[in-house]
Amino acid sequence: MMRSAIGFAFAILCAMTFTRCSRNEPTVWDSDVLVPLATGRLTLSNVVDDSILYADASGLWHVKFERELADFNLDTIVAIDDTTIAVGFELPISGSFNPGQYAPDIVEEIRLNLPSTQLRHVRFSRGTLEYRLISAIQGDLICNFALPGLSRNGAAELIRIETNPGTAASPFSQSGSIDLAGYELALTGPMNNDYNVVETILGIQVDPAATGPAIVLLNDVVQMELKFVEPGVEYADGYFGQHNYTLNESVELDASVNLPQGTLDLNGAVMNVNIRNAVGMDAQLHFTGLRGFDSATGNAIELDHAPLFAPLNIARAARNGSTVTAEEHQYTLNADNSNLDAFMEFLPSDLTMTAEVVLNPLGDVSAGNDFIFLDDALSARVALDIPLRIGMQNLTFRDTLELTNDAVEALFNGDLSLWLKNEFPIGARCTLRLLQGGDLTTVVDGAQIDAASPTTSVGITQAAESWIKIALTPEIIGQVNDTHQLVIDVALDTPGAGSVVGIYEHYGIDFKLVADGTYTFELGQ
Amino acid sequence: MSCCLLATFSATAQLPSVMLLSQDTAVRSSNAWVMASVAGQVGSNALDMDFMRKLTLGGRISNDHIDRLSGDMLSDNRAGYAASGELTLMNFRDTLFVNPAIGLKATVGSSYHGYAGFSSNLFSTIFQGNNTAAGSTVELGPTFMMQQAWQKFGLGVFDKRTLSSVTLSLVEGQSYRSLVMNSADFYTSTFGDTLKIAPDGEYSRSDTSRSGWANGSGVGVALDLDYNLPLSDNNGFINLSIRDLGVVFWNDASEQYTVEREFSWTGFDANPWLINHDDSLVAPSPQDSLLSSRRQTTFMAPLPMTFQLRYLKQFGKGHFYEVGWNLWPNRVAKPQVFAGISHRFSDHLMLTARAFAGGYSRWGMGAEVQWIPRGKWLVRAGSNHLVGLVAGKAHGAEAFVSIGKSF
Repeated sequence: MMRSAIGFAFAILCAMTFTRCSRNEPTVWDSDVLVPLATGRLTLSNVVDDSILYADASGLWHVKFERELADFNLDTIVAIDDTTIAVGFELPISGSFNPGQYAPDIVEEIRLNLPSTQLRHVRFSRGTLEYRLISAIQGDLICNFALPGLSRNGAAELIRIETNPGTAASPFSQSGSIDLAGYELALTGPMNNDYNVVETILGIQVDPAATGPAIVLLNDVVQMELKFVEPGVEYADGYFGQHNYTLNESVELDASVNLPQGTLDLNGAVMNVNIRNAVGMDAQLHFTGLRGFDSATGNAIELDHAPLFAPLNIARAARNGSTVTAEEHQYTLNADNSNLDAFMEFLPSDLTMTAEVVLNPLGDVSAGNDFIFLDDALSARVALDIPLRIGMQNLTFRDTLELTNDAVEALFNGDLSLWLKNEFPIGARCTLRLLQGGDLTTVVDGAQIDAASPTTSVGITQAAESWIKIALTPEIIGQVNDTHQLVIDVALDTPGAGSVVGIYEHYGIDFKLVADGTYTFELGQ
Repeated sequence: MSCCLLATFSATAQLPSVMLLSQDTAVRSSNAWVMASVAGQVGSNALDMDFMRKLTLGGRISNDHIDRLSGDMLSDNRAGYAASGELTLMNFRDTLFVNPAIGLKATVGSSYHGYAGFSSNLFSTIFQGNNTAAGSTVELGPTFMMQQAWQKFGLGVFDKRTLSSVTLSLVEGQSYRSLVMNSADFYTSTFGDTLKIAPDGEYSRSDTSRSGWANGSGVGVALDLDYNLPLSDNNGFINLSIRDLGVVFWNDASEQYTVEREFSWTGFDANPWLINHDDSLVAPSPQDSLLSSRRQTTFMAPLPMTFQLRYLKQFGKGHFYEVGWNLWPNRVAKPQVFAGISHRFSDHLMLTARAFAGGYSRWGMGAEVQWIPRGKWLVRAGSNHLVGLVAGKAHGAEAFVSIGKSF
């Protein structure tokens, strides 16, 4: 009876344990919220790359910009192409050679095919020396292949190969390779007075440990093949020849700077063009043009500075051991001696430079002692410094953002209110548009950000407050989900046409973003 | 051996009156009774059943619904729930303490109790938003919330004649959470660029690394008392019931917090993103910001005790009336009074209609049937808040079912 009672109780207890209520869906309600979303302070250094921006002692921002204007392609002058060298001999005799017996060394001088240069020494930055030894001799040999001119850290390269017996029909063959990076190659020959010459020495000995003599048949061949594969030179000396060529180089400016459209008034810009010759070789440069090009409009403007476009003879660099003293020449362009202001206010998207270049215009005046370190050779570098004392009229920046987020659920319906406190003496009109299949849907239409008012104190402004409302309806959110691009247009103006304002380091825009609308809460999702 | 297994729910804490009134000796002379009950109730003086159902089980709460509730709210509002299941074993045949009228009883059960006391401001801020409060400070307090779950394993003695009993139980605390927020000023700036809350309160919770029944988070003791006093003419009785008079000692992984630090929110700080282009915006944790001190410690908390007093008397052939008083002694619940009329069709069947006011809800009416078929089974089912089981606009609901069998 008691067992029945306990069984009944246990069954009921189990039923109570495993019975529970569960949530089948989230609890959802709409609430009329007013919530701050984000706050911060935007300064120029937040939006412009630090590498092109600096503040001077007064706090005035400067944009600095440096680029190589031209690649003089000097690496091609001292380049060594892929080259194959075969060193060996056909034995004019036949016979039997005992273990330990030597054959006479075979010394070869191979001249590289370098028609315009006379190289004495090179150091490789990369490349491979591939080799292969072939022996048709029926015996065990020890072959020592020396390249007296090829060394690394002062040690000449020696390739030792022990062969097995081969035949003319089935010769012994062994291959290998050497990484040339860091190797030096003297091309001066055995007497150290030549150029473009690779010296090789092949020594052959019947292996002293061989069990029997090596049998040599008439015309048996022992041959070493060498192949320089994609050799790269980082240093060379010798005589590099006389070269004449024309440069036509373009530099894209808006790859790193989002250049705007509109009217810009810059004051005080300075451009330095620095010509630096760290090559032991005389050069003559004649810049024939420096042109700014606006890829958006197709318009162009020539930089006007007469000294820059006069032929420039620049002497060879001096060298003392590994220390090189370069020859430099600098041109400084500003509003007084050039049309630099107009050139920069043109807002070029590309710079194109044309020049005539003559290397070694006087021939081999160094008696074969030209030198070059390829990592620091001949350069033309432009450095631009623009103090941000500017005037702008409808200067428009455009950016297109790729919207890569996952689909946003439309839980909010209302306005995003952006409050701005602007210390920049620059006003702006902002337009946000969604791009969908070529059609633009306007989200914000010309919202005005008021400019701060200048005061009598330099660098001090009276900040201006502005509100921008961004409607964030479910329809807009749906379009954001359907489209993937947001086009932002910002048009900038400085107060007073023709006047310029300074942009100082301490200027900023305080902002707050507030959501004001209906939010759908989901509890227990 | 004569034994009886009973289960009762705290809201209907007392023994079935039909058992007390029955003249059938089979009830008390049987060898074994097994009875189990489950019951639950939920109530609020401010929230209706439709709202509470959607809040707990899911669903969309319409703005009209929220507005209607908010419009009817008082400044202080309450809501609560209680649920339990219990098995009670009563041994009629054995004699204890050389007294043939004393029997042994054993119980096992699980209980859940929770309540919230909240201001209308808190409700409207959460469910209607803070927009209308722009430029002002709203007092969200006082707010009280408590939730407790526990299991009991009890042994006791009872009087076979009146079924009065005393049971001492080992309590296994399952979980405990308590928030006492005396005040909480909530400020919304005029333009919505600043939210600020200045709370003053305490928060306690049991070991959150444990879950499930009898998980060792807490241990305690509880005393249950049923005292049934038959009236002198044997036409009724007075019943006094005290349940869950006890405490739980929550283990040393429990936590107590002081909530008194002001927390201000002005939005995500976008500067790290602007300066470092770090695409992650990290929000400060309101919990970390608000909880000014944290202690990991053991603490003691009382069980949510239930007290009931009932007077039941016959006033005609087969007719009884009853009046009584229920009390949950906590910060939120109001004393509850009830009255009812019963009709006993036979010694084994009794119907009761009952009305009450107070507790967690406003008022309610219900009915109960008690049936002892063939003197071997006991079936008791009913609700003191019948309308709430079907009507979404009611402010509470309750249901209880008991099944017993003698062996």
